[in-house]
Amino acid sequence: MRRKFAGALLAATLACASASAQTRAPGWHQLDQAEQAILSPLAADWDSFDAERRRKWLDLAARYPSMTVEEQSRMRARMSYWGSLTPQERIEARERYKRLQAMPADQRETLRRQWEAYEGLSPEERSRLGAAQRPGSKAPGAAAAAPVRK
Amino acid sequence: MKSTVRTTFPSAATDEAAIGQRVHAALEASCTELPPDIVFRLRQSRERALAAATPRRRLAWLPRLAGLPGNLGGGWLRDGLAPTVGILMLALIAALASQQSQDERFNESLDIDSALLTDDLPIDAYLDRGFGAWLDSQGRS
Repeated sequence: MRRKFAGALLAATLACASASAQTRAPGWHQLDQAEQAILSPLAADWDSFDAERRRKWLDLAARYPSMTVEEQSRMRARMSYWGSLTPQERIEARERYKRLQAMPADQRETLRRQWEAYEGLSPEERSRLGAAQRPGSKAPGAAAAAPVRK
Repeated sequence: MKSTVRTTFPSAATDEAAIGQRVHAALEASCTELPPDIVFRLRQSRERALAAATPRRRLAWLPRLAGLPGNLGGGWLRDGLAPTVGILMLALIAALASQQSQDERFNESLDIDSALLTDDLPIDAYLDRGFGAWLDSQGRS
């Protein structure tokens, strides 16, 4: 009797905790008009997203009005691509971004110019460079800081 | 040596305080004159009672910790509720700590995603392994 009582209470607590974690995972048609307008590039895939991913996009949409026009344009242009990446690719991109955050603004500007120059390479040359760089080795940001380090 | 215990009450028998004092005095007097075997058996009984009561005393802090009165009454409700409340409190603390940690990770990830989506460098710049190799070659030349 006592064990059943304790078990029931524990199960109820865990159920409540689990239920609270699963809240706010609305389907596409449950979003309001403003959210649908901001997140429209994700409309086709929205209902396949898990609860945490939906919550993250909704939080990003909430930040959208406070962004500059240029940032808003970038975000909308990149949403589909970011959503199409694998979880592992998103983790890698986040880790590399974190490493670059400590970089001074002038070095970031240098890096941006270097990226533009890299984009000018032929697809064959870029593939060759990509094949030479082993997975998990040096990140672009770490290499970029080297030429301007004092 | 035996003392005589007066068992007669004063005429004002309704005086409860006086009666109580007399009963107390009678018990005190007779207590010192108990036979050794009775004293021994009383001591054994007392020790057994204390030994049986000890485990419950150890758990007495649990209901108090939960803000409940220390004496929750008898039966399975008291014995079962105290450890159950303790277990639930520990589970709740663990769940809250876990939730807080998840929220921190989520918010950090959200900040980075927001920055990546609006950064002046495209997302590919953070994903393209060839870019890192090319930067290395530029640095060496």
